[in-house]
Amino acid sequence: MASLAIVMAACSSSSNKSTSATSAAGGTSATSAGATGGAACSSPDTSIDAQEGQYAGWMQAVLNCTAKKPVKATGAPVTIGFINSQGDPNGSFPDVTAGGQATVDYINNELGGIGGDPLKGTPGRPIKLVTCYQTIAPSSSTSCANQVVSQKPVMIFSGYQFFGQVVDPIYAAAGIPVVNFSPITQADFQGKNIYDIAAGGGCVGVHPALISFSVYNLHAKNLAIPWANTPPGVPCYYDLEQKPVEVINGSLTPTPQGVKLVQGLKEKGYPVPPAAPDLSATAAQILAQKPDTIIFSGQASDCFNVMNALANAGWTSQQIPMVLSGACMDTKQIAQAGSKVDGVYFVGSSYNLLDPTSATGLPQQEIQTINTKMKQYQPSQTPTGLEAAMFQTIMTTWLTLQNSPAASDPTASAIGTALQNTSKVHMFAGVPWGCQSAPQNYSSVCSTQVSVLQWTGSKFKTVTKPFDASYIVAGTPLHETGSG
Amino acid sequence: MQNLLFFTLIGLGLGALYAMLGMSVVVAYRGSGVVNFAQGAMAMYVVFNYTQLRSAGQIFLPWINFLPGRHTPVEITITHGPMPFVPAILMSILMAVFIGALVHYLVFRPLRNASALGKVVASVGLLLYLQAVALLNFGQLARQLPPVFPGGAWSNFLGLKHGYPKENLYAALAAVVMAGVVWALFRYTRLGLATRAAAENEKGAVLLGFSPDALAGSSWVIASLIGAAGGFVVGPIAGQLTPVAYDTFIVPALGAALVGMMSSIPLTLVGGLALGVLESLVTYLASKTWFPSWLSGGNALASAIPLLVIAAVLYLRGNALPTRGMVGEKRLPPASRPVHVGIWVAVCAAAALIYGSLLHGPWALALTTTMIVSILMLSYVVITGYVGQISLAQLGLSGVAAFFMVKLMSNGSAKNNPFPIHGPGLPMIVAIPLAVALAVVIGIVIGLPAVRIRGVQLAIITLAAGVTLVDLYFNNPKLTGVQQGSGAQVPRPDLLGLNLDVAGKKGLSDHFAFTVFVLVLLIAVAVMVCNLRKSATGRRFLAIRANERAAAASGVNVTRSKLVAFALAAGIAGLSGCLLAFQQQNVSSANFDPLLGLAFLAFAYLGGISSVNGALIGGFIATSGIWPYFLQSHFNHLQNYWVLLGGLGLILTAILNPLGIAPAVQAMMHLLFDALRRWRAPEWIRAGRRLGPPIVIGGVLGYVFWGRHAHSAYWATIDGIVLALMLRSIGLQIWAAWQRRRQYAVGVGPAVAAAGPLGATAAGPGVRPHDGELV
Repeated sequence: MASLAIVMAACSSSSNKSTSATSAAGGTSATSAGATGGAACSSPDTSIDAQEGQYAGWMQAVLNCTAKKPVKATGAPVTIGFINSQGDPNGSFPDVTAGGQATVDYINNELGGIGGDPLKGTPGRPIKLVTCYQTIAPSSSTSCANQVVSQKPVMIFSGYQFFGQVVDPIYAAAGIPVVNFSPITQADFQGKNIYDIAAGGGCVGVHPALISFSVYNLHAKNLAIPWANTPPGVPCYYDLEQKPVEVINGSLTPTPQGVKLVQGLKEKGYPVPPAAPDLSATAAQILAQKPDTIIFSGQASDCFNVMNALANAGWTSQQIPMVLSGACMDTKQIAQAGSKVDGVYFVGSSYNLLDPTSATGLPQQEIQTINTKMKQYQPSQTPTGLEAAMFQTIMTTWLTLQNSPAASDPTASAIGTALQNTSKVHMFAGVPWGCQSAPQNYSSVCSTQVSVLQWTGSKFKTVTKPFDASYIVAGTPLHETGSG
Repeated sequence: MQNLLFFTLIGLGLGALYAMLGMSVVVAYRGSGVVNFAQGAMAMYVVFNYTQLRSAGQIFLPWINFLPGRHTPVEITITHGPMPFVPAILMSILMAVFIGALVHYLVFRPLRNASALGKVVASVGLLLYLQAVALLNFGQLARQLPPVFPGGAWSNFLGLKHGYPKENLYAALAAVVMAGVVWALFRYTRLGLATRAAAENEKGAVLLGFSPDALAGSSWVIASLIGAAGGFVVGPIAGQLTPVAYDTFIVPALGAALVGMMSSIPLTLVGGLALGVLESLVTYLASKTWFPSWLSGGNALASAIPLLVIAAVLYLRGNALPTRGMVGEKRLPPASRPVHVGIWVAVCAAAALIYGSLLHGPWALALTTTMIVSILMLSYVVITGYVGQISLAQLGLSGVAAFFMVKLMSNGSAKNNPFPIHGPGLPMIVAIPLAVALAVVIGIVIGLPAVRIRGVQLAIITLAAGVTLVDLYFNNPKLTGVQQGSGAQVPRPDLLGLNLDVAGKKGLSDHFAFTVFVLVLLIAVAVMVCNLRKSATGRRFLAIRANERAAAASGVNVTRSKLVAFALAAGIAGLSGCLLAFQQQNVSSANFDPLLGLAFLAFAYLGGISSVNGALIGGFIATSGIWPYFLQSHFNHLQNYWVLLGGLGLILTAILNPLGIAPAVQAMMHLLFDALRRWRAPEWIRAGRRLGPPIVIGGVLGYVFWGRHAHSAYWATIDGIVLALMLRSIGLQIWAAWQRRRQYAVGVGPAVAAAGPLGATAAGPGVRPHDGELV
């Protein structure tokens, strides 16, 4: 009996119901400045909407206006769920939570919450976050989903969720819209009332772009594709790497519109188990293939495991270009890996959110805002790309809802409708997105714009403008899973 | 042929890691009789410190800042900036020594005479604790180890037309050197000889004046050093360092140790290298077009290699496997004969029904989880509690049934499922028995080695079997029919027209009909296990548990009884898997992770592995059960510490309460019933004086702290009272343990307690101080 008090579920899950944000953390001069309203600001310059997407001008005006006259939200809070994987040695992402918390604090304290008009200084309702932290286990995810749904939120922000297939039906049955920070599983790509609005659409946006860039920009015809042999990695390889190659080399017909055929293009896949020890044998096989380009996508640690194994077997990026996904873009890992990363390409979401110089105009201003507000509201957290990406996700959702009927009527159905009806909407620190133009078979993936960066040894150099390669697989039938 | 030779050689690097971890397992086992599942975690923590020293000149002691608002010594800055290689290695070696000594003195020394299962539970707790501390101290960022040896490759190595990584060969050579040093240590030094003697016959070693305690302590330090050395040397080629980095290596490391018969360092070296080479060869062969695709791209076979090697060793030399002698080893808790089963069933069923009808959403989910896990725990009661066989494959067996049931119930319908599984579409009432039957068959196969071996060796082979099941079956789309990595979507359960879907109103997992369905099955299985204990079969089981040879001599067919037990346990585990599938609505291999199975065994042990009510308590406290949810919902600010507290709790409970929680609960219930029957006013007043203060204080504190935030002030008050009583109970047990230690200290304890370093003692007659020799 004694130990009941301390014996806790090992590898167990979640903790629930921490609320936040109505009274705000953060605490700055801005926090106290704008209690309710101030003088009206200049009206939005909508001329930039054509390039930056709908409501870009409005967002710019809000940033400029609230920087001088912040508006603090008041009234009954709007309950929003926030679920993230945290506290598990198998995978813990507290920086995603920090990003979410910082954004909500920023919205509540400076942007007037939900339903206000920050340009007129009219406060709206504050956001109340109902949080739950899960471990990397399906039972923990189910428990978290039940805990948050039982609090009756109007929507849910989902951080890292590895078991979308388990929890998405719960959200769907409850009619609660979910905005995914990073779509991972097939359920995230096709779930009802699920919206993937950032992170390049996960592998739906990134993987065809890996192939597209390798084939059309690097002119590779012989691709080596080590791939993460995990449940999410299986479709990402078969359906979004192997299939684009088959489309481009003409072996899969009919060819989607706009695809330029490349005869003789071929690929060979190499399954890489997660956290596999010693990939020397796999590396030797890859190099024996004599590929034109090596492509890999996986969690950051696996990216560098593959790279190290290849480097130990004699590979250099000067001999054989390597193209990695944005998930591998971890500057700390890159610093540890040293010079072997020099020249490696990374395909990720549109801009480097930690570097304002990676963009110009409004996106640059927004990236600056992200970095300023993250430090302001989460001073104990060293800014990371994940934290910034969560900030981007919530800000993009907020600006979309503010310009929809859901602002005055923040119900689950109104928010779902507002997100579903988006088309060429401005993405905070990103490029326009919209769920109306989601690729066929991937109805939840609302943003597939990516860009390519190259590591020069000290920083990332932008190689391409934002582009969308999901057209290569648009309308094609889903691939059956092969072995693995 | 050239390629075969090349891939044989390239596997030496991985083999070196297996060999070195295997050696550390062997050394710890020889010195203390513990098969340490946390050996990889111990190495991980030291290597993390090495990277911290090399990058920032800091070390982190193996605990966290546990006093809120106070600064406890955790992080020590030695140099402001990166530390050079040599001092960093030396500091790391000191850390390895420190951790080895701590592990011995704080964890396994108090468990010296505990049952083998108790030690397994403590090692699982240690594993979780070290992982959690590493996460909290070093963060989630994976680290790349700076190479110890020169990197790069030999192009066209030995004319084999491939580039060969230099580090792999150096690592293998380092493993050989390490094996030589350890072998010489045990062959030629006094410490080594004494350790070997104690491993052969601990009682004899004591009589010769050696202290098993001191020998065990030095063995733990050496084991920690070997593991850490493996991390330094092979870490750079083993991939990025994370808090869970070396956990998965423990199975092949145990395989290597078994090749070495848990005693021979040279054979362990050979076993480890051979396992690495075989994995490398399979990776190469899997790329061939002729390789069977149902072997899942080579992963399945690679995962199965440790199992195959262990099985081969056990088959060839099973009878020769040493079981380490101990001065005194406690047996498993007594499996008392169940009484008043009907009353208990009525009380528990009523409580569950009231709970299930009153509480919804996550609380209802926690209830069904508790009941499903309790069924799984009952399978441990049969196989471990009654027959004494440690099986770590029970969760895997539940997975077998779950995946097979989904396949049988699926009909390829794409309605609401873009990735349908093709199957015969059998109704649930047919699919469940068939799925359970498959689990029984697989359970018997896994149980076959138990005919020849027992104890920790059986635990190792069943763990390897669990790992193999994951890659060979659960992750194999050719067998499961799962497409696109989406998990196996479970068809809606329907029993003769009655909807048993877990989804209730508003999508929450709280459908009352499902709760009742699970409750009925739990009661059925619990009553069956109770009756089993009372039957002739149960008595045969207990006879085998007590002494196999004696049981055989008295006419019990040991082989048959063991296989019957494995079959029964597998069937029960299979049933729990089917229910878990219905509850989760989508199953994947993550539901049946072998390390999660290890944790479940630990909870079964904590609950009380020899009794049915122990299984119920195990389900109550296990992952996502009612108790964890209760704590999480009230202490949400501790979300980053749950794993750490879980690990710590396992260790403490294994030490303080080796019989499990059930006997204590049973005693409390007896006390309560006795009080209700016999107590009069004076007795109630005395009880009120003892329990009144914690009840009042707990109630008030509960109301003050949680009253505004919890579901209701009423519940918050009860929460506070329950917690206060538990804290009182913990305090009393710690006090009692301390009292026991004091009694030992004044000479009541076993002879070994009085022995000093290597047997030196001032008190023991006839023993000369310091050198430990008899005079």
